[in-house]
Amino acid sequence: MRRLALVVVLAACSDVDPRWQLDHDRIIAVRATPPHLPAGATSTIDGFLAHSDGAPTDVEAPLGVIIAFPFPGVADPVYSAGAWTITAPSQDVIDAARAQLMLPAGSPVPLTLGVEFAPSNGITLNAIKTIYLGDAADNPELGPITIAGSAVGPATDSLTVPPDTDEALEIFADQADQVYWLTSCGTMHDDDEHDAFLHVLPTDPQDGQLAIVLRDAQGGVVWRVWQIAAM
Amino acid sequence: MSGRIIDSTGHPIRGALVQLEGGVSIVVTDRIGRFQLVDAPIGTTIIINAPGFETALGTASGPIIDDIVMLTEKQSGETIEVKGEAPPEAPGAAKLDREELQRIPGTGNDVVRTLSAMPGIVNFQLPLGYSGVVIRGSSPQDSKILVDDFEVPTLYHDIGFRSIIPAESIEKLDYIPGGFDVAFGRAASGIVNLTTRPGSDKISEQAEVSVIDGGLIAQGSLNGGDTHYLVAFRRSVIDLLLPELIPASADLSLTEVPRYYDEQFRIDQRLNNHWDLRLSSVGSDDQLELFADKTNNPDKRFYTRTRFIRITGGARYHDGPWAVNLALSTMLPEFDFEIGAHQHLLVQQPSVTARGEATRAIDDLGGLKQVTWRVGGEALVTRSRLELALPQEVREGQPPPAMENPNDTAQTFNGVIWAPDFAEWMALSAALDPRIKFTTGLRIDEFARIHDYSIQPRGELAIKLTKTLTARLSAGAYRRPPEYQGELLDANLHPEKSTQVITGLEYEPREGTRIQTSFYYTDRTDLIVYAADGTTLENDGSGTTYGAELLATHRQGPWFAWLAYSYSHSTRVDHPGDPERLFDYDQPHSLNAALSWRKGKWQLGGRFQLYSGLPYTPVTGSVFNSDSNTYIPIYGPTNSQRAPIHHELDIRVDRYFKWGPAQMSWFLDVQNVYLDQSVAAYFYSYDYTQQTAFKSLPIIPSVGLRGTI
Repeated sequence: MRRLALVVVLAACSDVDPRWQLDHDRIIAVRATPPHLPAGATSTIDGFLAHSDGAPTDVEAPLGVIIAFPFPGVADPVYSAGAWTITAPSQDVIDAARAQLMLPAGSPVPLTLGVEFAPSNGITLNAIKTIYLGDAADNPELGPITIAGSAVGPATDSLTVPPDTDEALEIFADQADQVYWLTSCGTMHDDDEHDAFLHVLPTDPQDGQLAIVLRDAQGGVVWRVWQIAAM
Repeated sequence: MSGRIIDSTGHPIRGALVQLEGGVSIVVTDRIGRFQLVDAPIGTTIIINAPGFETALGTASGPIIDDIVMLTEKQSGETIEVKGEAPPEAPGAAKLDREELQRIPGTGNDVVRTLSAMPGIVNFQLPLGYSGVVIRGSSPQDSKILVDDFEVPTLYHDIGFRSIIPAESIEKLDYIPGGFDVAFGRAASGIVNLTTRPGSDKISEQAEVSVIDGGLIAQGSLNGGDTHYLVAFRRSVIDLLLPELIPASADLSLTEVPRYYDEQFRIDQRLNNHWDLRLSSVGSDDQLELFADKTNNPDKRFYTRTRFIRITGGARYHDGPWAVNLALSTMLPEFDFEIGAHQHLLVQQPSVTARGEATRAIDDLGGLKQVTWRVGGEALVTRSRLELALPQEVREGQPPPAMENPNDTAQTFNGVIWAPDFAEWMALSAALDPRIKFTTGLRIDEFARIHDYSIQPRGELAIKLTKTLTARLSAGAYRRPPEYQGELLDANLHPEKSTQVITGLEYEPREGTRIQTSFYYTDRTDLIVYAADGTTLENDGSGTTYGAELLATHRQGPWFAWLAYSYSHSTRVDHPGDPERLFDYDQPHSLNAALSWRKGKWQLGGRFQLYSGLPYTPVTGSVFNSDSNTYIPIYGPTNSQRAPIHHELDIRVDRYFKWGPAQMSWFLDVQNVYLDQSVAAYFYSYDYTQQTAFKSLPIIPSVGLRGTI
């Protein structure tokens, strides 16, 4: 356990990319729209991906989707017209699955998907994502966001921040929601807090992107991206 | 009874006058310092006088007693103490005195840290402050740390630069990597036994400060020399410097910088010619609190506090061939560990130990000569109060957990566990002829909590092949009770077992030169591992360790040289049919070579270290869990890769001088002077796509100043 303290210190001081770094080949979030499907409903699967070498983030359709757990074959992911979708089975099949999992009556049945995206700069990108069968719920919406105390309107797609200054970032959302701030411009602090702050040192990249990802307790996810520059 | 009288440089003293206290006959040492006394009852004080030296005292502890060192008048004002050169406890074991150990560079003036120079000790570049030591490639919990024969929970302070006992409070250090006596138990590998020092005859106060810590020691004697006392206290200094090493850009807030205290107290009272009493305590307190952000968010808090105090009262009775040692000891340890707002561990384990051993020496018993018969027993009762809410613990061979989930409290417990353990032992040592000596013994442990009895026969044979060459063979059975972390929560586990066979040679070609080699094989069974369900524990593992060790020391005039090398191979199988894998602490090669020169007011020394990196389990890929925003690592074969070899050079300079009435000295001890930055361990980025090496600390200077009045 004493090692843990050292690991904490090392993590703070090491030279690997921190998790808030957008300039890094990775999956940031996998989205099912919607994440909860009543019988017969269809959900579309896509992902929010980041890339290294200054390439911007993008939203991509997976290369492949499979049912990973617990019932392969309970529903078949389908690729059509450049998108992957999955359709919930009939209510009888959902009820049988719920009974097999010994879940309470009426509760949603979790279905874990294995999702593969195209490699980015040679990095294999695999993920798992859980969707829920037997009820209905949409992905959440982002609450009001302020940067340096000023509200960021929905039409805003680029931001500027002063260099070498702590710039407060804040989202008003349920405290149970998980928030992650990411950037490829400057250094992010408290990246998993509702109120984080960004500091662009002279040695940091002076422009890039800023992103926020919010996950709710029902498996829903939403994100937003801005171009950002220090000046 | 025979013995030898030497000076502080190891040279024999010819013509010294030796007599028993209260006796009338006097014998004179020969040209190699040897003497013989007939009808010397065990426990009797021996008085030695020689021109130019202070009167020295010894104790008739057996047929052959440790070397007795005589000090000049000047030396007696310093802090040099009696050194022991009795035969080691087992093949490969070493009995080292403080003066000798203090000459090894790279230890920052910490005697206990010279363990790193011993063959068989697993070394690691990071001062992580293991709770114990790792011996012969096994696990830290397989070996025991004893202070005056009683266990202590930790040997080093958390920050890792210091042991819990300062050099001046230590009389000697017994390092027994295997094949230890029946009087010791509850360990499957080795023993490190620190013997604290009674206060000196002369009243003195000493202060010492370095970049690591500072402390005070007061000692002396009262009542005409019948009472000796020693009091020591120390506090860390490095906590005042450490915050400067953390970059301002790091999201860290050190609210309680790693700091420690330790204390020692010992009072020895001689009642009469038969009884000696002792009361001692040793304790330490380490604390650290940090936040992984700058806002002191309780969800990102890390807090640890380890403290304990052990208080021991002992009595020693000796009368003719009889000697009896009795002791009653209590320990109050507490370990508090908290991560975030939900994960915590609080362990309070007060214990009481009663221990006794009687020794009877017999000159001739049925044709056996120099017979020593010992019988002893120990009762240890521990009350463990546990409050536990943590993720499932990581055991030997398991890589560190994936991304920490601050809400993961898969393992919870809140309650009290009593663990009464009892042990009895008996041993017989005798000489078959002047060249052959054997020891045979039996130890029985009863671990009452798990209703387990363990019978452990052990024995040793020493054959003096020539005047300078001795061969030794040792074999025995050893047990470690299930008491480490989650093992306490399971009453169905059995002790881990080991069977050790060790053979060795000791060669002393001349005064001050000793070369010892040992070859060992350890078979381990009933190793505690996770069952197939991944959560319950069972005794399903097995393993073997084999290796060879060399330790050579040489003292001549102002020179002191040290060479230690060990080869070790330590493997295990967690479940029958599983592939064999390396232990986490398998370290095939370890080399330590030291040279020290002391003359007048100066002492200079250097040490070269070279040792293998430790094994680790590589990550071959990862899968992103989009719901929890974490990455699940995909591991390769367990411990299938190894960190690179590490080597470094350490140097040390000591300068002695007088300042008014005070005897002063300063030292400069620098580790890794040529800045070798080999990889100590690898850490992965949050998504396991990047690997970063944590390298050796580039250079660690330690400067200290000591004054004695």
